[in-house]
Amino acid sequence: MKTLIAIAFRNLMRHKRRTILTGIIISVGLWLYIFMDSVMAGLDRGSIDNMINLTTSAIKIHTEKYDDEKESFPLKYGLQNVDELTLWLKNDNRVSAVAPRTQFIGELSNYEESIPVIGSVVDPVSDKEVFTLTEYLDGNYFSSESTREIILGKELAKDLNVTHGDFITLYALTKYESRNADDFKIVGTFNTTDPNLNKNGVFISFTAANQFLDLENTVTEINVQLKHRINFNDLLADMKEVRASFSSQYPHLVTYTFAELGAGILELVRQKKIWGVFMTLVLLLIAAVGIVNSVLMSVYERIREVGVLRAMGFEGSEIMKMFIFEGAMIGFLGSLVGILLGIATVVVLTTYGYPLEKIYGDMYVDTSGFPMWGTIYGEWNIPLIIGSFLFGLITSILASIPPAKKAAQMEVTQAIRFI
Amino acid sequence: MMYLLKMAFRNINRNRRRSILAFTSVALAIMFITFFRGFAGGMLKSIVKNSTKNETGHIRITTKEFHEKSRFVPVSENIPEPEKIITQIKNDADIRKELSIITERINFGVLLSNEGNNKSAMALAGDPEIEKDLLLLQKSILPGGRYIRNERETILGSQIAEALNLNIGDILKVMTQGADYALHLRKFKVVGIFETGLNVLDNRIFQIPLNDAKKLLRTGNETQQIIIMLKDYKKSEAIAEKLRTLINNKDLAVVSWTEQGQWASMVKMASVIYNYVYFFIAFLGAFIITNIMMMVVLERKKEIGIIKSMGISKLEVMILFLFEGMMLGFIGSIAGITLGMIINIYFAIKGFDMTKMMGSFNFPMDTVLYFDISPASLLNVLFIGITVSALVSMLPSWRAARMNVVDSLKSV
Amino acid sequence: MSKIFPLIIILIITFMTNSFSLTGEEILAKMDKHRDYKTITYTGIMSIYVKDKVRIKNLKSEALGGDETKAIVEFTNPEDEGTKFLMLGKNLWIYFPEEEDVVKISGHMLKEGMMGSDVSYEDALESDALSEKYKITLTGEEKFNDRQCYVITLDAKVKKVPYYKRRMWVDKETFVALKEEMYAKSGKLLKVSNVLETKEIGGRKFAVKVEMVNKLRKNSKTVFEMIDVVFDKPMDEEKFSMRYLRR
Repeated sequence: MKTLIAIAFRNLMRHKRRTILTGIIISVGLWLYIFMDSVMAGLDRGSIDNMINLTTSAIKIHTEKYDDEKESFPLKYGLQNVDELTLWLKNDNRVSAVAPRTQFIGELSNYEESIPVIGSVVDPVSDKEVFTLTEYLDGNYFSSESTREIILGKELAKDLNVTHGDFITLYALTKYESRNADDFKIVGTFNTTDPNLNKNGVFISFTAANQFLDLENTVTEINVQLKHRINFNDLLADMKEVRASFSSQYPHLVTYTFAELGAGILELVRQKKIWGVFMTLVLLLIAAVGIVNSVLMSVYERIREVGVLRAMGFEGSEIMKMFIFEGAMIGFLGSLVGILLGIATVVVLTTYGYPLEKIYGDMYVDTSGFPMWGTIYGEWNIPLIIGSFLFGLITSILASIPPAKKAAQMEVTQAIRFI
Repeated sequence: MMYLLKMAFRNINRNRRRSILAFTSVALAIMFITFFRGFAGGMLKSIVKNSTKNETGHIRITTKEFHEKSRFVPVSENIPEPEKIITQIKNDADIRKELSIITERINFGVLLSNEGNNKSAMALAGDPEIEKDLLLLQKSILPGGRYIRNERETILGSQIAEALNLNIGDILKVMTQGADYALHLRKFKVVGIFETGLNVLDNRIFQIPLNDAKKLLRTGNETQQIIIMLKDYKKSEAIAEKLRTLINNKDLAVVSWTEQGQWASMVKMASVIYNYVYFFIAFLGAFIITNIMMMVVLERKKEIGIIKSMGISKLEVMILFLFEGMMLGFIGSIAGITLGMIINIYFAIKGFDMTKMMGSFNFPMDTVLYFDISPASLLNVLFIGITVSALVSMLPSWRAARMNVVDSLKSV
Repeated sequence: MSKIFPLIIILIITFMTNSFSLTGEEILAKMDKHRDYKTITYTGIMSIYVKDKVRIKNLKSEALGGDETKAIVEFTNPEDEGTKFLMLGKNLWIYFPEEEDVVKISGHMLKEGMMGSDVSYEDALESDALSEKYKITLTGEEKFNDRQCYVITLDAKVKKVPYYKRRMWVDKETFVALKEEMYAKSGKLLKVSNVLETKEIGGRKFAVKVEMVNKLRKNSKTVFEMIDVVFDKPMDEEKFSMRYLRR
């Protein structure tokens, strides 16, 4: 046995170029596969993280009455003892930050044109800890004593033909349904990954809203952010647990986790995975054909040598084994190099990220509708890496069996004459 | 040049097994690409159709004001004399042959209420007969109901029906502000409830006849939008441009689906990503050509020496080997395309039923896909096959060309 | 008096002659005297200007005097012919003739401009107990449109008011409010109404043409004109009911 392995190894070394060529196809195949999977998974995770960090947060809390009428954003059903709830939530070590928000419907007008908007009242300090709005902000965030400052979507600003520093009239009904309108100074505009927010979203601070909406610090939703988890399913489980313990303490409040808030995107990701499996199968099949062909060839090419070996007294089964060893070695080396390259790429992707624009090349693609853009970070998928290694190895072995068999059955004279 | 081609061809014939291996590999890869393209093309076509049919069509004609405020779907910005425009378009020979559907459409948002239950919804009003081929809602009507036949009949999404507690035979009251800003009411008989499995439709949409919408909204002879579906969605930008010249009315906006709606960018991205995938597959399939050619070059060292000493230039040697590689690729590609096409034509006619695969897929798409079999896409695949073959033959050909005459003659 | 429009309510004149040093409350009380009729009927023309377009609505109205709003309005312009409004207190029902059906208007719909005008349904229904909701002060005297006017300022006493602050220019002689400004909580001017024409009808000075200008939007205003105003025509109270509306 040892001799056979040694001969197989020496054979491979003798035909270095061929070995390398055949190995390369396996390596490149696996490497690209691992790379693509990481990017795709990263895209999905990125979209989900963006949604959590920008609009939904991990857990949202409302009063029951607010929940019944939440389409109309009623200001009259605020939460009681927000401070107590916040404190309670912060005591949970899975929670990283808590921020109150209050949404309202309004109209933004530049005198010529008026556009309906959905406003969010935020607490400038805690909101930053939960939401990433500031990352997309052009201009400034609210100054500390911001009474008449507003931040709005770039798209909205464009429609109304205004920019930072300009004043714009916001019109809304106060908590007591009295009409109010006031001029706000635009301190910042944002261009986020959420097109709806860019088109219809405006933000003012609680200080401003207490005056403008007669809000009296009414908070209609508490947003909870959880600590980052590498595995998304762990995060979903955390959400569930935090919600469960919160609900048992405060049963009269309505809570939503991202599993419900982002049901649409989660479903999309789940379905995309099914597509992914389908595409992967096709890819692997092609890769398998490539590997089989390469191994097949490298064996066929050397069948003439079989004659010599037979003449030297090697058994058919020994020759078969030898060829299978050769296939296995190529498969092993090729797969090893492939997954090492893959791992290196994923390391780079997870640490440094990849600018998404490069995927599109020179083509102009309007990215405004995507759930994410900018730099994407890869995702680790250890089972996939192990799986692709085994795939490369096994495919190579399987591919070498038919020609090995053929070689084993050959007569000396036949083998030597084999072209 | 011809003799190089001939020589290349004879060389291929010399080692049949290898050649057969090479082009089965290429053929398989190309077959997959052809299949995948047909599938993806059909899927994209379906996504484009389904994502545009409710809102923009492939091309939408509206007033400029409507276009600017389109996300609020105003009912007061309407096109005067729409029939005239439609006739004008239909009479243009160039455009007519590209048209699949052209129809008027009015959409409006409304807060529906019934017995104290409220639900915000979007009305889609069009010619019920034409909308059978466009909105396709008749396909999803739940048992017990039927499609719209007469005026004052409506079909609504299952989630709306549930929220409003409405059943077949009940009356839906639609009260909304018309084009004259005054409140108007119109009653509709619920003749069907549809469930498409798509939240965007089931939770938001109800369909009514166009004439009812015109009466309800007091639009008079005007209409909100003219929706055009083309035979080939990829031509929409070019045709939109033609329509702009044809209609020549600066108060109207003629907009292709690619310029609006969030799916447009998604489809574009998918096309780009798929192209990478195609190249990847073709590369994997054709890589064996490098492998074979590398060996061939080594084997034929002597021959190369001989032909070089006979006065054949470096470039010609390179071309000879490139031809050999490309020929392998070409024959493989042709075989692959033919095989792929047979599969695709079958699915283009019979359709590819994905009902089970889709499950509760929340994506605006048909469950039966009809593969795309456009000649342009075939040429594209052939191009990919040959380019990739040439690419992978490059390295061995270069090696052959670079070979030193004396060294190669000396070799075994 | 028809309570379709608050301004009209306020704009009716009295025969009271001017006396000096009236308080804001007293001025308002004199304006309120307008309501000493039993019934009013008139034909109205509403011209709604939005940007460069104008739309005309014709209507006929019958209403009872008194504190509670009781009015019926029937539209007569071709597009809305037969549409009727029934206003009882703070409630509004609309009768749609084609559908022969009545719908109660509630919630946010009441904040919308009535028939697309700059007057909201809510404005039209507003009860007149201004002195309950506002603190009224006489803040000055001014000449407006060549008429000597009291300027009274109304500041909201409660939070649930459509406008936080109003200012009225009340004719010293006729006690017709010739101009009214409506402000938001922030102090921003939302709407202005101006009396364009007054007439003497049945011995009363009466504002018959009023414009309401929306200050938040450019070129947006509504002009309301009343013709054939008749006071105290005998009227059946039964008229102001859902039953009558459906007839």
